[in-house]
Amino acid sequence: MTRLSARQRPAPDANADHDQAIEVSGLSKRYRDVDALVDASFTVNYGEVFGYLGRNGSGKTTTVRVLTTLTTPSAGAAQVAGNDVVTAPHAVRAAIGVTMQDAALDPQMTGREHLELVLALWGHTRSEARAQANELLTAFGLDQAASRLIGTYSGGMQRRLDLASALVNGPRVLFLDEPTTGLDAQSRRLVWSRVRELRDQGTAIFLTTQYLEEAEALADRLAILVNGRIVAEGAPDRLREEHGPTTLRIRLAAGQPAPPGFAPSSPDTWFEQPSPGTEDSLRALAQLRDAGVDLFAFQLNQPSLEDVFVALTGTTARASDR
Amino acid sequence: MTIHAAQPPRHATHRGGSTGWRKAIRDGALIYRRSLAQSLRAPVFAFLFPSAFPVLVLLLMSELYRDLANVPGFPAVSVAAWMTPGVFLMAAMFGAGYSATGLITDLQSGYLDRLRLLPISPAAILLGRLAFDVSRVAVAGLVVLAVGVLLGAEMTLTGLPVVLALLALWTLAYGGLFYAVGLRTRSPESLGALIPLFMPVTMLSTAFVPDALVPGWISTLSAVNPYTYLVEGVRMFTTGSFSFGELGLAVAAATAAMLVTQLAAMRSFASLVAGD
Ligand SMILES: Nc1ncnc2c1ncn2[C@@H]1O[C@H](COP(=O)(O)OP(=O)(O)OP(=O)(O)O)[C@@H](O)[C@H]1O
Ligand SMILES: [Mg+2]
Repeated sequence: MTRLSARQRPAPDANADHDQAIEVSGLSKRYRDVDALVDASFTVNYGEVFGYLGRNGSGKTTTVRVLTTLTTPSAGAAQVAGNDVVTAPHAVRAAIGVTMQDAALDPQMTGREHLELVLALWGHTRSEARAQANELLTAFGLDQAASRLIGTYSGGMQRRLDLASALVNGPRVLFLDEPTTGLDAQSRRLVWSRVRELRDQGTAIFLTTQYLEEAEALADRLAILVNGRIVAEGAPDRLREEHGPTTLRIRLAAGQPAPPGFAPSSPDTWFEQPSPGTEDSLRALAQLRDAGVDLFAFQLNQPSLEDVFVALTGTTARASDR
Repeated sequence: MTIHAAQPPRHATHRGGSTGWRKAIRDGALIYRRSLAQSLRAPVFAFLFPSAFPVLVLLLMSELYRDLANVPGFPAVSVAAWMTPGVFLMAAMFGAGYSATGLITDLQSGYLDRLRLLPISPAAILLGRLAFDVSRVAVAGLVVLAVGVLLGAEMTLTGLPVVLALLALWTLAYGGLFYAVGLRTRSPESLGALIPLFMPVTMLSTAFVPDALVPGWISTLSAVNPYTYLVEGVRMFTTGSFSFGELGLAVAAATAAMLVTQLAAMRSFASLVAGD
């Protein structure tokens, strides 16, 4: 750690009364000549889904690897479940569950063997491991495929098995790196509902995604990452308010010219102007009325997360790799 | 459906990160079991390759050089009996790389990261694999030895555990080279490139032709080749001429070679699990 947080940092094992699941300050990771993550700071609470949104190569996986102790940060500090990722990695690992972007499963093992191995490594006896593996296989709809080689599983089945093995230790903090990429709509819904269940049970969930719909559907708060830098962070609604280009749209009688400050929109009789805030829009409307303009209708259009993303990055969420 | 299966184990020993020997051995046994299950599902590379190729070498070479036994000064009853020890040890050389490749594959697929996130002692990951290598090669070695005995080599029951122990040492020594190179280059292809190494190692030794019958420069190289000492160590038991001095040399040569390669492998592995 080359940079100490100005904030008060808790003692390494003060996790019981520590209410932040993840606390990151000034975190950076540099690979030779690539700044994969630059000066990231955020916190995640228990019982919250924190969406981590960014396009390819923006640094999502790097963040997950640092927070899960797989990679050491170049600078900054991070506590997960109250423990420092650099100085207390074992305590962090004991408290977390992780599914990486590519479900790294051994294709030559069966689903049951895989779960039994994971359970055994967590210290369960053979009979405990067998019983719990069966429970997990059933809970994740894999009981039919339990004795088949993982190599024969579909992508969705592998994700589910991966998620099941991430939950073996009853983690208080769960990291999911693009858990639904490549899944069909049904499997995605299934993962989403599992995520919500876990969140409702008090688990903190750090979820990376390239899908704005997913962030919109799941995230209580989210951060938007561009080239390794967090450019915005907060609840989706707040981000929309702060960063989205809200537009004021008005409808006039047919054949009317555009009032000053408004541009033609579609359909024909609609005109619009960017709205910096509700107050400004009200003022603009009052001016139109004072000028005697016949106003048929007006709308204040909230931006979508997609608009926020475009506004912040100048590109759509799933543009090509950098 | 609700998720309630996740229950932390009652007697988890990992919480502080300190693991201890019993946990390491238990974890090593789990990794061993995984390797065993994997190998039984793809037995051709795991078992057939390290036994079939040496058997082929033994059958063909002993026929090709059959009349060498008539040369004055040839120290064995038949060429097959003479060649059996070296070919027996070749099981380790053709078995090398199989498991190292598996480790590199685990590294590339991210499976190793998954293991690192579990409370497993890193040593167990390597030790479980090495233990499996030893037993897998022992199976192949026994097959080769059986063929050698059929072709006229001797083997006593008391000698069997000793030659298997020498084969185990050679497995760790020669296999360690594959782990060391694989972990350094992190590419399975580099391990393929190492396979032909068995040629100079076996040719520049007393495995095929007695020392008295080879040119001086080969004899010189053979004297610094650890494999030569292992071959002579095993040969004591296939020709019935035991001496503690020779056995000591064989063990010393194998141990020295093993320390060099395994320490290099463990260093690379340790830096790997320390993270980047
Ligand atoms: N081990 C590494 N060595 C060198 N550079 C790396 C390494 N890992 C990641 N990078 C670089 O760091 C940057 C961020 O990569 P990262 O994998 O974190 O992105 P990501 O947001 O997860 O992308 P994706 O959506 O494609 O998964 C990229 O430029 C990548 O090339
Ligand atoms: Mg990624």
